[in-house]
Amino acid sequence: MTPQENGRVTSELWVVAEHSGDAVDRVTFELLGEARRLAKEAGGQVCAVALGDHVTPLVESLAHYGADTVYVVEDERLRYYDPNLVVATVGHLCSIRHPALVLFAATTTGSDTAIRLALERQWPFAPGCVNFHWNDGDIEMVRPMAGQKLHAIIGAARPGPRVASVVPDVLGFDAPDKKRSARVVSAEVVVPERSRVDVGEFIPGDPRTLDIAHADIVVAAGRGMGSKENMQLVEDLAAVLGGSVGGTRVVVDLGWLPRERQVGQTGAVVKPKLYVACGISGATQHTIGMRDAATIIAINTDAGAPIFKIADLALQADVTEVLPVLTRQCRQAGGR
Amino acid sequence: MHDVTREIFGNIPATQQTWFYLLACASLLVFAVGLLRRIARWMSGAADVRIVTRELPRRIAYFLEQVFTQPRLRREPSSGLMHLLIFWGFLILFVGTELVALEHDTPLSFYHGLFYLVASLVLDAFGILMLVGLGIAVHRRYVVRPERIAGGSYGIVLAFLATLGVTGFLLEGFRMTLRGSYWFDWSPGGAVVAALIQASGLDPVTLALSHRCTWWVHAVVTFTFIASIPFTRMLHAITAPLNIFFVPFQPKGTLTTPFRLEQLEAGATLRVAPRVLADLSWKQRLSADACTECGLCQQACPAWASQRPLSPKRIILAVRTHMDHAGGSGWPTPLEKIITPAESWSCTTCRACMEACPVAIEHIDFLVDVRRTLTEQGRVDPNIATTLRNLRRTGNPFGFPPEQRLVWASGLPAGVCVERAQPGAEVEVLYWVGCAGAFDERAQRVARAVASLLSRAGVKFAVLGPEERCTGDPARRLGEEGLFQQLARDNIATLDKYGVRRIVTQCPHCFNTLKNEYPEFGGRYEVVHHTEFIRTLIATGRLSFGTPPAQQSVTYHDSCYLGRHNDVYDAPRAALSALPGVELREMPRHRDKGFCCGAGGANMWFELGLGTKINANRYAEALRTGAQVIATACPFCMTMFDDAASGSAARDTGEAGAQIRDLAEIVNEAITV
Repeated sequence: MTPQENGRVTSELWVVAEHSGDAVDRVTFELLGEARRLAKEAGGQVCAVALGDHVTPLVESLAHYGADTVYVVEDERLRYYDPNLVVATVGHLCSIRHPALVLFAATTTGSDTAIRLALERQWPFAPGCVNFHWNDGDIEMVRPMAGQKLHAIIGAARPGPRVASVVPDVLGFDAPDKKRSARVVSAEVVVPERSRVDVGEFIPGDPRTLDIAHADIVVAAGRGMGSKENMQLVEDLAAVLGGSVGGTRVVVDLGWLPRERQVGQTGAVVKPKLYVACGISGATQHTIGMRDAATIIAINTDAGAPIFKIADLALQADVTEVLPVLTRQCRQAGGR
Repeated sequence: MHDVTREIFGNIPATQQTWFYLLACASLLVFAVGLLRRIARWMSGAADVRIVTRELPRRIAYFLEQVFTQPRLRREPSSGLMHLLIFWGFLILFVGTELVALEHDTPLSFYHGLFYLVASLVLDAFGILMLVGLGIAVHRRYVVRPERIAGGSYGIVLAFLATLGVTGFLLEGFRMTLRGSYWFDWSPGGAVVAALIQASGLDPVTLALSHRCTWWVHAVVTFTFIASIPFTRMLHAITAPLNIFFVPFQPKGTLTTPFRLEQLEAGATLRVAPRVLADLSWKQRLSADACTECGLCQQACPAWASQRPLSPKRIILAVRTHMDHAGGSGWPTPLEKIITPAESWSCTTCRACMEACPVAIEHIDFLVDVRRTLTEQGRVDPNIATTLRNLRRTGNPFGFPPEQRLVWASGLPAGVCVERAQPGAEVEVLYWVGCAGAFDERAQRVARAVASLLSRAGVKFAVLGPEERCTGDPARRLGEEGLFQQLARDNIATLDKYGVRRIVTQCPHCFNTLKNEYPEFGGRYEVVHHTEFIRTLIATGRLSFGTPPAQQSVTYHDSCYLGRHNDVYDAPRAALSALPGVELREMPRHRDKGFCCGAGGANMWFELGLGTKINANRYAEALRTGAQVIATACPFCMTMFDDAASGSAARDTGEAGAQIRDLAEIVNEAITV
């Protein structure tokens, strides 16, 4: 049964956006790119759904990456992920707009919403997809099986929007088109009569124990810290900023930090909002793991250190002198 | 003068002679059955397409050299001498015994006169040499006890050989005492024993009885020994020469090709690697049976030296033990239960084990086979997964966008121009920058040095720029054969599009893959490493050097993929020596015994997290030469040395470390314009 035949499905292709409050996640750009490609091949509108307590600022980048329309649902209750609200709201919107396809990122929350939505509405569902294509007016979903040795092509046996989750970092995305703009449609959050999940309390992760790959702020140490004792300076700044401590391979090899704190080619790849590189020269093996940080502050005595080439703020100074002052001022400015 | 000869079966009654022949037959029967069972177990293995009968003369020549002069064993002088003594002693005594058998059991008659005298002298001499060799062996195995031979089961073999040697001389002494001989000078060993026996003053009856008893001990031990060969480590006398004879004559730096992408695309169902014991090829099975447990591989292994969970000796012995105990069960044990994942990832594919192995076992292929299975099933470290994904998506292991491949060329000195290859445009060489040269900030500086010196030598060269992709070395060595072949195919298409014939590479890994692994996929080019090319430029006078500002001492670190995998040892040393003011110092482990930096076999791209740091070990060795400069020729060695230098304690105490520089940088700096 093709989407057209069941008479209720429109040619809208939906992407449910993932964001970290003030920025759209990369995976959403990948999904928009894929929807854009499908729309180009067979017509249709690419629509993004943005849910959160303050998502209007995200509309611009969603448009740049391919959304024609953005459904904006802003509500204080959507600040943290609550599957009851998200499933009910997206499901309600779908029942009004009848999209042909609803794409979620196969992340923890995206997969959760996708499965709940498809199950609740009894819509066709394919998890962990890597590709989509048109076949005779219908959308087929492609997902790897058996350890990526086989690809299953999944068609739909029942009517309704095709719901799919997409594996991040597979599709890639094109450069944004800064000239694009999107129509904004505001919608209200839908509170379901019956909650399937009781949402209790949200407890922020302890930056000291948080997986460094998920940290918003990373204060990282390099060989230039000089000694294990000086690592306390890095710990102090991280504590004031509410950030995690990371380091280079050499610092880990020296036993100044545990292996899971290593950033770089053979460690973690981090994309924090702020990366403070302390005494790090910036060998490619390290910068590979942090070059996508939104803001990079580098402190190093060597003016020729390669880290300065990618830093937004370069401080040619001794870390042992700068860090205590920086920590004190951050504390006075209202840090933790 | 009566004819000079010796008595055969003297003092042995005819009935006892019959028993002797019956025992001989039984012994040979047991030997044959044991050996045939071994052969059957090799022959039921999978085919090995690399080993073909062409090049037979070369094969025979190699076989003769390896078996009779044992150059690989002689790399380790003390044990090499020990083995040569036992080998040649045993071989000559074996031939001598067969000569006696021919004389006695065939119509031939030659064992007399001068021939007999010379044979006597030679046999005595080699008998003594064998006993000396056995003495060294016992001393090594039970007194010195080097770690590498720990756990070996050679006791019984040594006991057999020593008993045979000693009873042989006793017999000769008895024979000479009983029958008398005018030819003592030609049997010095026997003469000494005979003198001792005479001095003991035994009466003739006791003497005859002692001789007969010794004769029987010698005979029974001989036949037991022969029968036992297929069941003891003495088997190596058969398997080692066989394994050497069937050595695959292919460039050393190549891995096996388990399948071809074209087969896969044609819809064939393929096995990516041997997955269970039964999948091992006949050659791998023979290899495992050929292992002599000498441990030279383990002693050379950087993984072992840094307490990683890998001994190349253990993995081969584990394969053999599993074959021994698998019985007729169809051998379903997964290979990864025999060679563990941790062992396979510990390997840097530096080839030290294979270069050291006296019987030409190919350890790396066993280890990479395990990686192939793990990678196929996605059971890899996240950093390995990232590296493979980067290779797939961006064509380089770092994950940089391919359009940034020429970023390194910004900031070149004035007058140095890097051009992209054009179809039909004649250039002297194509400069293969490699992913490190293109993206790694440190290696970019080396790339600029290479481009500068090419330019200053007047070499017209081009680069592929954004069209260059990783050669596939890390993919292949991480066990992702399909991805390697895709990359190879893409690169070959690009190279052929521009009619490339001659390539200079910056990276020994690119060099090895382009030179040795691409021909199988249709890419045939003349590939040289920058060190070789620079040496030629110096030798032909295209680069000249002025008076240096100061003397500098340099120690050169052999990259495994330039050295052991490709035997490029002299070019880099010649290039450095040609520079005025350079004093070359060697580390203790150099050339074919060079010690890996720790990054090979794609270890550059993941953190094993086990054992100590290989690079710290090597950096310390380099510092001990007192050289001011450590010269490398590989971007990965460079990274490993930089890390080791950065992590060394000396860094904070202000002690003089050493500069770490690529050979191209050192040469480029010395050029006078």
